[in-house]
Amino acid sequence: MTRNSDVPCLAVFTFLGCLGAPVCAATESVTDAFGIFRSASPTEPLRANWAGLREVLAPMGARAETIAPGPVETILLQLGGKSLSAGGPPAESAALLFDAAGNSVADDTPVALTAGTTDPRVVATQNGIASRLISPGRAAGLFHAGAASGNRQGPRAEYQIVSNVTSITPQIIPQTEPALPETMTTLALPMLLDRDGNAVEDGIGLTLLATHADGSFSLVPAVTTGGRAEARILTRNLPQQGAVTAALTGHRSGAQPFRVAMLQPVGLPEVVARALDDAVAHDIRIGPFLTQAGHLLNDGADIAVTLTTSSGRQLRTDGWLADGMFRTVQPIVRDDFPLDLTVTTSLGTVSLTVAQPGAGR
Amino acid sequence: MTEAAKITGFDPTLYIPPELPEPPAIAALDARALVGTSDVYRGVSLNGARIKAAQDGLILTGLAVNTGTETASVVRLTALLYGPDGRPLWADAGFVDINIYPGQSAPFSMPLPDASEITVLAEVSAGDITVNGSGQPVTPPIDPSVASIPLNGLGGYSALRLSISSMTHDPQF
Repeated sequence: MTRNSDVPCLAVFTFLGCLGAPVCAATESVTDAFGIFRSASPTEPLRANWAGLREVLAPMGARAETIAPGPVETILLQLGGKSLSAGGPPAESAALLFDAAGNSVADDTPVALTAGTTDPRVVATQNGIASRLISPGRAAGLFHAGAASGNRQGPRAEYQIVSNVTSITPQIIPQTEPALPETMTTLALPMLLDRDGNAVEDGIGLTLLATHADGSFSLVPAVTTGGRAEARILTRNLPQQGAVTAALTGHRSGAQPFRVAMLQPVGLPEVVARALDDAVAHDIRIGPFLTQAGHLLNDGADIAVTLTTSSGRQLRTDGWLADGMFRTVQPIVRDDFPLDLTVTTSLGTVSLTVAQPGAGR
Repeated sequence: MTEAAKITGFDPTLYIPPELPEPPAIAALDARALVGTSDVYRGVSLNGARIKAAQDGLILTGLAVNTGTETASVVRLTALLYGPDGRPLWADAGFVDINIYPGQSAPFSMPLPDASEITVLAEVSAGDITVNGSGQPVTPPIDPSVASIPLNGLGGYSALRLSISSMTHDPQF
């Protein structure tokens, strides 16, 4: 008999059962939480073993019976939260136990739960679950957890306890000498250990904040590797004096002096002023700004220029260098010449004069 | 002409602000994050940054420097501004206009609003914060004095915290 051919008979049976006349079935049928099935049906061999309360409908009448779950067959283990830190709050280890038919095992089934270096503890199941709290302990590392009951045990679970980053106060190794300008310099931090001596894991981000004597600041990210961290700073557009601190989570290191040797200029920049055809103004170009390191002062370097006309009128402008040059358009006329310029960059401050339009220096 | 033919193309500058029928009265914060282990580049630093008052608020300027070995693209600066009471008041983001190649740098400029322009609509209490679907208490906010730049009332703020993120895609053109 196929499953489909059962349907009309079961429908009639159900109807009669509702009238209080459980008749006509040659074999027993069962109602459980999921519907009706023939107890002898070869298509439902597993369902006959489902535990719980059910009603058996037989030719002689209906009766209720409870199917108890079988012995432990499968154990699943879960251990969490997601992040366990050394010395931090406990985590829950929970084992789910099932019999061969997938039923949760009976209450009060003893289960031995082990985790890391803690002693095994026997816990009784409740609704098929046995759980206990696991203290992370004070050592970071990879640990194993397991659960066993009867002659079965679950697959091994792995969990990691990470260092307690919030207990680490970073430090910065002092510079031994000023960093050279326009070079990559490294600020290193000594080994980052938490309160229990665990080294910080790889990939933890830190922020180094440098405050400079001229009121500007620099922000440099760093990442831990092998329990240490290094920050790479390109000494560009940085004043000579400053102090740097490192921050990790809510802790900040003490300030360490951060010094940069001054980039020295080579010669004086040229100045060329040209009258614009369509405006009462002059296009002024200053540069190139050459350095003793053999290159132009970098793109984006700050520059401030004060122009003083022959009548004493002053014009101020600032901006950034591009290709070692600075260009500005100013509302000056031929009678304003000669122009005196005071130019300030990271190479220092220089005074320049333009005698007439189209001429320089 | 059909409606489809009238469509001239995608306009990336088009922005239609949301319209609310009435001013919002309450606020909640729902944050979700995943830990990514790839395409995260921490090779960009900010050199010689300054923040000063401007006509319509504050202006943050400086030099973004690529100290790593990858091409940094879509370099994003996130500014978190703390109010006079030391609590976060405003967060804003700005981008460096160009890709930055290893060892190179690019100036940036980022406007920030004055605190007087900001209207606090509602307080977000700890119970209104959900992180990754969990309402469990989150780590207390970091003390604004750690890794932040004191503003001492500039623009109506007490401190500024900056973070930098970037991608490493190099389109090769």
